[in-house]
Amino acid sequence: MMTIASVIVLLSCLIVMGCFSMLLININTNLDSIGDLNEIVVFVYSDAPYKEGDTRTLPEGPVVEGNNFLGWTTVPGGVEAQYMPGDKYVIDPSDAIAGEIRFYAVWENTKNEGKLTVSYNANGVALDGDIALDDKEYKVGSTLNFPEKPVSKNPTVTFLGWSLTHDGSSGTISADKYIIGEKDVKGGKITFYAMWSNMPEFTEFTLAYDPNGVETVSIPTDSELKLKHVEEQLGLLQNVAEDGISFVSKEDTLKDQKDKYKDYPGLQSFLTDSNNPFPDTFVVTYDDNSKVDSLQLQIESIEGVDKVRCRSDIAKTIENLKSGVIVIFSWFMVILFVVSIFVIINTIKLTVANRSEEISIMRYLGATKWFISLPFQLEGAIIGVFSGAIAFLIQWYVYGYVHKMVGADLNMIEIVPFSEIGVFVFAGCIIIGILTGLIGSMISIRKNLKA
Amino acid sequence: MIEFKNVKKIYDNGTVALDGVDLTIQDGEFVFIVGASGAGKSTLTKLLTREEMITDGSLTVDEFDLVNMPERKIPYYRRRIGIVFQDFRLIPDMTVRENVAFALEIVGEPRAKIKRTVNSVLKTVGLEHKANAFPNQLSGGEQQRVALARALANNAKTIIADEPTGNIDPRRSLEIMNLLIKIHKKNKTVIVVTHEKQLVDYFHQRVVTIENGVVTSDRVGGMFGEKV
Repeated sequence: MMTIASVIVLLSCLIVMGCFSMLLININTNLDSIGDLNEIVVFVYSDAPYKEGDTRTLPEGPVVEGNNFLGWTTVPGGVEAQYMPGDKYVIDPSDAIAGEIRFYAVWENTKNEGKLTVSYNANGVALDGDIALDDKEYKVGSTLNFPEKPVSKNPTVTFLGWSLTHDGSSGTISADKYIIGEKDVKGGKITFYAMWSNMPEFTEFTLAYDPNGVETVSIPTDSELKLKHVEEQLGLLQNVAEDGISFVSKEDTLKDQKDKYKDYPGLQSFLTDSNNPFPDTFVVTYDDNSKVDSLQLQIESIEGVDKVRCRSDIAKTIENLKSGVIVIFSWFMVILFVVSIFVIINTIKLTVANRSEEISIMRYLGATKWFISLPFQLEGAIIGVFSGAIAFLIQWYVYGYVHKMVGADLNMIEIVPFSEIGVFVFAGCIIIGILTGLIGSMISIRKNLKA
Repeated sequence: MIEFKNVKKIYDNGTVALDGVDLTIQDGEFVFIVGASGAGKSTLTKLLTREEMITDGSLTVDEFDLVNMPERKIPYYRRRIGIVFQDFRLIPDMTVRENVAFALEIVGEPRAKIKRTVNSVLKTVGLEHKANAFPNQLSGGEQQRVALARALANNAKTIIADEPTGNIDPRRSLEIMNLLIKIHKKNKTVIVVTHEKQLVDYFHQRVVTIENGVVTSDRVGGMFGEKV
């Protein structure tokens, strides 16, 4: 009777342990399939227009041999720096020309080879056709012929004439010809802005950088500069894993999404290169989960970062769940383990009591402790092996049943097949069973082993 | 050689069982240890089997120092002495042969040797014809002979018999004593603890009397209760 009781108690202990380990294995597997949770995804809408009042830190100037960059100015052809790199520029609509705020590089040696170029600016209005390019060479005092009058796509907007300033403050020229005056030329350039009956209003602005006559350099676009800045700043942060920053361009994301939804033609027509709704993203892998909050704050404060998505919440929830499971099962296990040992102690004690006479005879005859205790340890071990084997079979059956049930109903959860963990469960059951049996029998016989 | 030097034994409850015993038993001696109940005879036996530890003094048996002997050596020491009890202490579900063989199995003797030795010692005690009987099929005297055979099986140098005739009728007691004498003649040390006056007087051997935990008499060819 006692033997049966110990087998039952021990096997239930082993079943709980087995369930526990299998549950943990499954949680871990599913965590793996969710992906690496030690990630912060940083979204940068690098093309997003600015609004009045937004700030932008001005970039470093271009480097040209033999010509020092002095700063930036919003004045076309300007020779005096208004801003230095690193200055925070607050978007001011009055600097904008047709929704674009252009920063001109100011050089120590303004290159003016006496050559004049003339260009025409539609001043923010969508045209029906292009304005013809004028590649003739002009000098101060020469007369130029204006190209054909531009026509707006919008019939309610009619062309009034050209102006030397985008806001028309210098007056509108309605004549066909113009004699170039000295003060019209800015940095070797004359730009004529189209004046319209209905000037479009801009609330969103883009930034551009202009080499201002030094044509040997090219300055990256604002969006490129923004991404570069974000990447540099991310690289300076603590708690970022080695090689932990990877960049996914919005073009790649668009391509991925198009591939993913290739069966939806409606979506395909919406997802075009010119209408890319996706941001550029940086995926930042970090080392220490406990410091993720400060890392997230640091990333959010980087200029150009629009949104940060952090999975630390999910990771924390899952970690909490896992530690909860561990705590509950550990207590269960400890209790059952103690009960198992206790029951085995009593089982073996009964056997020991039945054979106490024999044990004392053995002692008088010079039997070693080992010789005396071996049969009892064997008994304990056999109880352990037997319980372990039964526990293993029960778990096998139940796990298979759960696998079939959950596997069919919940596609989200991946259940590790028993064949992959069976060996470990078996070994665990047998080893822990034997250990429990041995410990129990050793405790119960200890008193009788006194020489 | 067995040597008690000023041996004292005081039990945990304060009972003074032995109070300065000096006693030397040479190899091959036959000694009766006699005394009234509670005189300390049983304590003496228990000290010799190392069931109990002395409180003070020293006790050596051959090369074994029973005071400083580590516990793990006790089994090896006990293999050197054969012990016979008043109540025989045979294992009831083993046959005579198995009971005797058991002593040899414990020390890991090979099977062939066990068989040979068992036959030989059963012959010594005159029980070869009962080899397959169980203890409860034997008389008291026969059971004690089995116990003696078992004590001899390990070729022990010393046989300690604690009241070996206590549970046997007088006629059979003489048989057991004769057997012990026979064993003694095979050059073994035999210590018989008893309170049976007649037997002691009959055999004219060395008699050590213990009273109230002290040796009061020790004479070769002495008589029971004889005072010095």
